[in-house]
Amino acid sequence: MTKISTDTVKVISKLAKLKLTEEQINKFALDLSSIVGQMEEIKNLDVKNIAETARVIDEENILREDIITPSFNQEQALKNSKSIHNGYFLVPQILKDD
Amino acid sequence: MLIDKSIKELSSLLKKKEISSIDLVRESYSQIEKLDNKLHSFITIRDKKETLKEAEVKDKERKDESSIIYGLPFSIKDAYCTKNFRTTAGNKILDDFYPPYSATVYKKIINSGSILIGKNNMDAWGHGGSTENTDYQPAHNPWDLTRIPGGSSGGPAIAISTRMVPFSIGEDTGGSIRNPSSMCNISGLKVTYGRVSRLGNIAYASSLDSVGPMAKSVEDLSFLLEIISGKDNYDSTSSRKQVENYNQILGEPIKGKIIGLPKEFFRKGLDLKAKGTILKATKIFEKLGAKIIEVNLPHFIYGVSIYYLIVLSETSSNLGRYDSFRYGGERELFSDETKKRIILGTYALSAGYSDKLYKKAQKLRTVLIEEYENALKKCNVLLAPVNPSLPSKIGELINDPLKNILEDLYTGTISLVGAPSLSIPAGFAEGLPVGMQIIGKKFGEAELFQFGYLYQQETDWHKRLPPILGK
Amino acid sequence: MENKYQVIIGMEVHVELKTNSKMFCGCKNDPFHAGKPNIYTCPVCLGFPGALPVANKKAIEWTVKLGLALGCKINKFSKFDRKHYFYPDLPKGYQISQYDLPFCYDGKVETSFGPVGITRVHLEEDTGKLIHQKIAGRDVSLIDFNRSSVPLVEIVSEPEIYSSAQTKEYAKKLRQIVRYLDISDCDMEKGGMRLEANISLKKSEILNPKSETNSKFKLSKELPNYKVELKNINSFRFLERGIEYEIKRQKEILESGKTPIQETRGYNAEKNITYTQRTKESAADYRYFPDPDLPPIRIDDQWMDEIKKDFPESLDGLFARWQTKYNIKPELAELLFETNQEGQWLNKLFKKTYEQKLPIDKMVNLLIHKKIKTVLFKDSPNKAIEEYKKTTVIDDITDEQLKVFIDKVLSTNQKAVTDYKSGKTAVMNFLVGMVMREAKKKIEFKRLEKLIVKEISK
Repeated sequence: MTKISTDTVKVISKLAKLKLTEEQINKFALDLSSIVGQMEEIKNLDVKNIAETARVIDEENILREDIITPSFNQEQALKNSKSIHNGYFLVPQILKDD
Repeated sequence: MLIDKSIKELSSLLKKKEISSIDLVRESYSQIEKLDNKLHSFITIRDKKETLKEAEVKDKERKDESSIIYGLPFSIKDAYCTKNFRTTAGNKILDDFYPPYSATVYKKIINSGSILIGKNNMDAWGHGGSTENTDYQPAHNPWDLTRIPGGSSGGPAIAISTRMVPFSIGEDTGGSIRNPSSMCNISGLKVTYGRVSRLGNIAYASSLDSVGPMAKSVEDLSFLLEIISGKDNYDSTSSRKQVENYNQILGEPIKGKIIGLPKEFFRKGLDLKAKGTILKATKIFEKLGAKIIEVNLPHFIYGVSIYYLIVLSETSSNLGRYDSFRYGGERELFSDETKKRIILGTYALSAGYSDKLYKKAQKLRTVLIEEYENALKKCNVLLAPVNPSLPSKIGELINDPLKNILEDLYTGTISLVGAPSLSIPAGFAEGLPVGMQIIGKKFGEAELFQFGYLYQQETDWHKRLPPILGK
Repeated sequence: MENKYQVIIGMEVHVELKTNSKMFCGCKNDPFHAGKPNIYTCPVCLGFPGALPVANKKAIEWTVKLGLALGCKINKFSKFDRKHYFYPDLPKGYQISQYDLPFCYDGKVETSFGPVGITRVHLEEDTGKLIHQKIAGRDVSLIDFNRSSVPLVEIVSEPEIYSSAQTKEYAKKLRQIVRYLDISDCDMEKGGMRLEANISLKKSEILNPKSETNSKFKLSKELPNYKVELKNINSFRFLERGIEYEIKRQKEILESGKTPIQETRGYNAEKNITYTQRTKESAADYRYFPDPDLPPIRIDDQWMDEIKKDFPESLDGLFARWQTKYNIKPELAELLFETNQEGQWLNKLFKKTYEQKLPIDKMVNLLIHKKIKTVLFKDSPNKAIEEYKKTTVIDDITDEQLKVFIDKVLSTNQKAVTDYKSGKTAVMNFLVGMVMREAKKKIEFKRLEKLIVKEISK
C-alpha cells in the first residue's frame, strides 16, 4: 500500500528544502504511506457547503497603529549568525540577477 | 522536602521568613543533581551560583504584597525564548541559539519574582508525545525508568513529579502538556487558544499552540494562570477577554452541574485499565453532586487525521525559517521524525493535494467545532481520557509511526477546537499513573479548576510521589 | 501571407508604501536611508523563532485607498496568507501576502489607448535585499533586512494592454495615482516601485492594418499558451524598450514555427536586449494557506467611511474640473504636482488667481518652469501670487502714463526707430527694455510692443 512513492518523497523534500539520503527516502516513503493511509479515512466524509476553519479565535481587526518601536542594533541582529560580513548576513550565492 | 508543598504554603512560609528562596533553590539543585542524570528532564541548567545570588536578592527584597510566586524556583520548556539564555527547542539546529528577546510568558513569571532554574527537555519542536525525539537524550518516566514520560513537554512533567521545581511552563499543541502530566502524575492545563500570549514560544502549529502552566495541583495552576494570562499587543491572537481571579472560585460546589462523557472517547482503542480508572473518577464527581451524561462527538473518531493534517501543514511552514543564515545550523540537523513531519505537511499543502488533505481537514475542523459546541450545550464540562494507553516502553512509539500518531487521539482533537482542558491524576494502573482531562467551554478555565480542585480535595492521587524519590 | 501578431501584456506592479513603520512590526520603514545594514530589524522582520506579526493598520487603509482610486471593489472580509518559497532574503521561508481575498479587486485604469482592467490590489511584505559580491574569490550574497517586511502593494492588471506605448502609459498613470494619494514615493531607481510585464504574442486578424488602436483588432478571449515575464525594470523608458525587444524576439520565434519558452527575462539597458534569468521548469508551488498568526480583517461601513473621509477628488476628476473652469490642459496639469496635498494647494492657488483675474495660463507656465516653487504656495496662495506679479508684469500703469516714457525713449533713440522702420524688428527688444527702465517697472512685453509700434507708426 504505497500511498507515497519514493519519487513523491524526492519532489516534496526538494520543495521543503530537505536533503535526504537514499535510505531516508525509502524509509520515509514507507512510514509516510502508512500515515497517509490512516489519514485517508477522511476521504469519503461529506464536507459540502462547510466552511474552512483556519483559526479558532473570534476576534478580527487586531491591528497596530503605524508607530515606530525600537529595533535591534546591528550587533543584536547579527549575533546568532555564523556567517557575517560588514554588518550583513553572508550566504553562498544562489542566483544572480534576482 | 520543601518543594512538595503547595505554592500557597511556600509563599506563606517565605513571607513569614520560616524558609528562604535560597533553601528552595538549593533543594531544586539537589533534586536535579540526584536524579536528572537518569531522567533527563533538563536541557540547560543555569549556573547555581547565579541563581543562589538571585535568591539572596529575592529574600532581601520580599514584601508582603509580593506575588505568590515571588522567590520560587521554576523551570520552563525549552520551547520558549529566554533572552541571552540558550534556547534549543530540543533540536541541535538551535544548539547555540541565544535569543535576543524573551517570551511574554517567561517575562511575566520573571516579573513576578520567580527564579529560573533551567530549560526543560522536549520532543524537538513539539514533534512527539514521548520526549524521545530530542537531541538532548530521551527522557525517562520517574514512575518507571524504562518507560516514556509522555511529551512533548516531558521535561517539565518530570521536573514537577520529582519535585525539582514547584512549577513549570509547558506548551500544548495537541496534548503536549496533558499527555506528560497524565503519565507523570501531575496537574497540567491546556488553556483556551488565545488565553496566554504565544509570543516567544517557538511555534509548532500556530493555530493550535497554547502556553500553559504545569504544577502539582489544581490550586497551584489557578494562581499561575492568573499571572500568565492576558492580552499581549505583540500577539495578534491573544484574547482581550478579561483575566479572572481563578483562585477565588476554588471550593465552590459543583452540585447540579453536568459532566458529559463523549461516547467516542471510551470505545475501542482505549486501554481497559485506563478506562476503568477514569470511570471510577466519575463516581467521585457524582458524590460531589454532579450529574453524568453521555454525549456524542461523532466526527471525533477522525480527529487524529484531521489534527495531523493541520498541524503538519502548519509545522512545515513554521520550520521554513530555519535556513542557518541568521541563526542556527543547517536543515539537515532536523531529526528524521521532524523531517517526516515537514514532508507530510508540505505534501498536504502542495498543489493537487491541498484540496483533498489540508483544506478538507479545515472543513472537518469546522464540523468538530460544531459538535463540541453542541455537546457543551448539554453539559458544563466533558470528561475524557488523556491517553489511549499506559506509558509505553522507550523506543516503542518512535519506531511505530502510526501508533505514535494515534497517541494524540483524545488530546489533539480537543486542541483543534481551541478548548481548554485540565489534565489531572485519576489513579493508577499497573503502578503507572493514569490521568483524565476535564474539557470546558472556551475561556471556561475557572469552571475546570472548580471541578478539578474539588476532585483533588476528595482524592490524593496527585500527592503521590514516584518511587524514584524513595520515602 | 504574412502572419500578423497582436501583443498581449499584463502588468504586475509592486509599490512600497511609505508608512512610518513596517508592515508587521514596529521597525522603522526607511530602508533607503538607513545608513547601515540590518539596523531596522527585530525578531519579526528577521524571522526569529517565536516572533509574531501584528499588521499595520495604516498600510491596510492605504491599500484600500489605492483600490478606491483605481475604481476597485473592496473585499469587506479579508485575510493574510502565507506564500511559501525558499530564498535567502525571505527570512521566514514564507512571505505574508494575500491569496484569495485581496483587499481590492476589479478596477480600471484609463489610458489613451483604452481602459486597462485591474484584477486585484493586495498587500504583502517586502523581502530583504541581496547584494551579490565576490569576497576572497568566492561568489557570495550579502543580506540586509532593513527592507524586510516593509509594506508592499501589488497591483495586478488584466492582460488587456496591447502595445509597449500603452504599457508605459499605464505604468506612468499608476505611479501618478499612487503619488497623488501620497502613499509611496515610487522611487524606481531604488526599487520603491517595481515593474513586471507578462508579454506574449498571438496571431490575430487585423481588420484595419493601418489602425493603431486595439479596438480595431478582432481578438478572441483566448490567451497564448505561454508568457514571458519581463522583470527588474527600473524606468519607464526601459520598460517600453524591453517590450519592443520582446515583441521582436517572440515574433521571430513564432515566425519560425516555434513557441517562445515560458520564462523570466531581464532587460539589459546598455545592449538594449532582454536575457534569460530563470526558466520555470514547472509552476512554482507556493502552498498558500491562511496565516494563523493574523486574525482576519473586516472593513465595516464605519471604517470604510473613515478611510473615505480624507479621500481626495479623483485625479481625472480634478483635471477635468481645471480644464473646464480654468482652461488648463490635463497634460500640463499632470506636470504640475504629484501628491494630493500639492494638488489641493494648487487648487487654492488657481482659485485665487482666477478671482484676481490674473491669467492662469501664465501662472501654469511659471509653475511648470519652476519659476514659482511649491514651497511658496504651500502655506498660502498669496505668496505665490506675489511672486507671480514680481516675475511677470505689473499692470498698475496706464497707457497714458506709459506714453510719456515711450515718447522719451523714442526721441532719444532715433537710430533704433529708423532701424525698426527699415525692417530690423529685433531692435524692439531694446526699445521695450529701455521703456521698462524708464518706467522702473516690469511691464508685459506684448503690451509695450503694441504701444511702441503704435507710436512709431504715427
